[in-house]
Amino acid sequence: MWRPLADKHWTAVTAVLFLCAVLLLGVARAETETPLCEFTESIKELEGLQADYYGDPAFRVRTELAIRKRLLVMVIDCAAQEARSLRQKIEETSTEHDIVVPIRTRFLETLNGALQHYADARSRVDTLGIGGSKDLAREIRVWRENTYTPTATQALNFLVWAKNQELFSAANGRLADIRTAIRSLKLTEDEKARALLEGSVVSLRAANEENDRARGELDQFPPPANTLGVIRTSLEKLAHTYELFFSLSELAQKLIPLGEKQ
Amino acid sequence: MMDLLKQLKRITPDPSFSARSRIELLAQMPMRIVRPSIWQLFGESMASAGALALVGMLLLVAVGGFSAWNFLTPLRITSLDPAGLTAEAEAIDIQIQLAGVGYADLQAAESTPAAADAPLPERRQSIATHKLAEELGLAEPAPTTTDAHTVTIDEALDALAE
Repeated sequence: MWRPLADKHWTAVTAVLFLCAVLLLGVARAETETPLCEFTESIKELEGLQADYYGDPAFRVRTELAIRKRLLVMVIDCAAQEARSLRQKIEETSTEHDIVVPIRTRFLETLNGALQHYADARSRVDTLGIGGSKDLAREIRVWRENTYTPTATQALNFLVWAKNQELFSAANGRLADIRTAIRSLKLTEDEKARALLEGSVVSLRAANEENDRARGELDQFPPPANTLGVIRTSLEKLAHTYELFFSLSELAQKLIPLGEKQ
Repeated sequence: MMDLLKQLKRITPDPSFSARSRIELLAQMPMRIVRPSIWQLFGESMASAGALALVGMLLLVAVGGFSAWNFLTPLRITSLDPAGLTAEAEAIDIQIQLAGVGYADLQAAESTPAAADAPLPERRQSIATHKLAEELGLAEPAPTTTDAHTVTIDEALDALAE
């Protein structure tokens, strides 16, 4: 008599706990889920309704408004997710160099401002009619074109530039080591080796100057149009420096009288 | 004949010659038997091992795969080591590709790499775009539909503004 009742009790408790766990997992998943950034179907739905619907006009307006609101929320969520990803990448950059910190902080503040802008826009969607939803879409579009996109572009340039700093640091260290090696092996007595070493110094100096120029551009607002071009040039000059390093390496192997090469 | 033999029997060596010969013979013979010590054995083994090592090194040099240039000047030459230079130069090349990717490219490409039969510059650009998009967390899986164009955020806003 006693045992079956106890069994039923525990079965019920287990079922409730299982249900709670499933619900909690569902909530957690919904919170972390990234928004769906696929708009093609909704736009087709909207265009189809505008072009081919000949039924009840009130129904048409209600349906169009529902589609517009749903699509506008999707677009805003997607744009906010884009800004969040960019902010996260900026947060992950190194703060090792003091000179980078103010630029990094400014990008983070700007992206936080953009996220607030999207949150404000999203909170207005529910109260809008068809005309208001069109105005809001236009407003966001213009704001993105004039404010967000230039900043996001520059933030992206900052990420590329920040990653370049490891390469510049390695190249500067390598040139210092090569100088020491060339001097200690007395290769400076060879005219070609001396010319290659001097060429490497000049080339790396030019690359460093271009790298500094790119940092200066990243620090400006509104962002200059061709910061990425400056970054690219700095890298091309760095690549040229390595070509000279390779030539030096080959020459050193020829000049050092220690028998065979590999 | 018998007399002759008796005379021969009486022949004896010169005493001074026999003394000198005995001294010389004694000087040639070991005075005692010496047992080799542990250190002697160790020294002999080391000599043999050294000889073998030398033969091995000579074989290595003869067969190849050995560069005296690198081997004898390692500390001074590592900075000119082609392998290290190549690794750094390749990293720069990748960054040059990434620096060719603008924000507009990222939005337009929607993170889908170009087809394998696309021209090389386009493919490299596309790979760089995809890599950067992945780094930014913007990359998405390639669309399963045949519709190649994916609507961007700005295009969707344009459609909503009409």
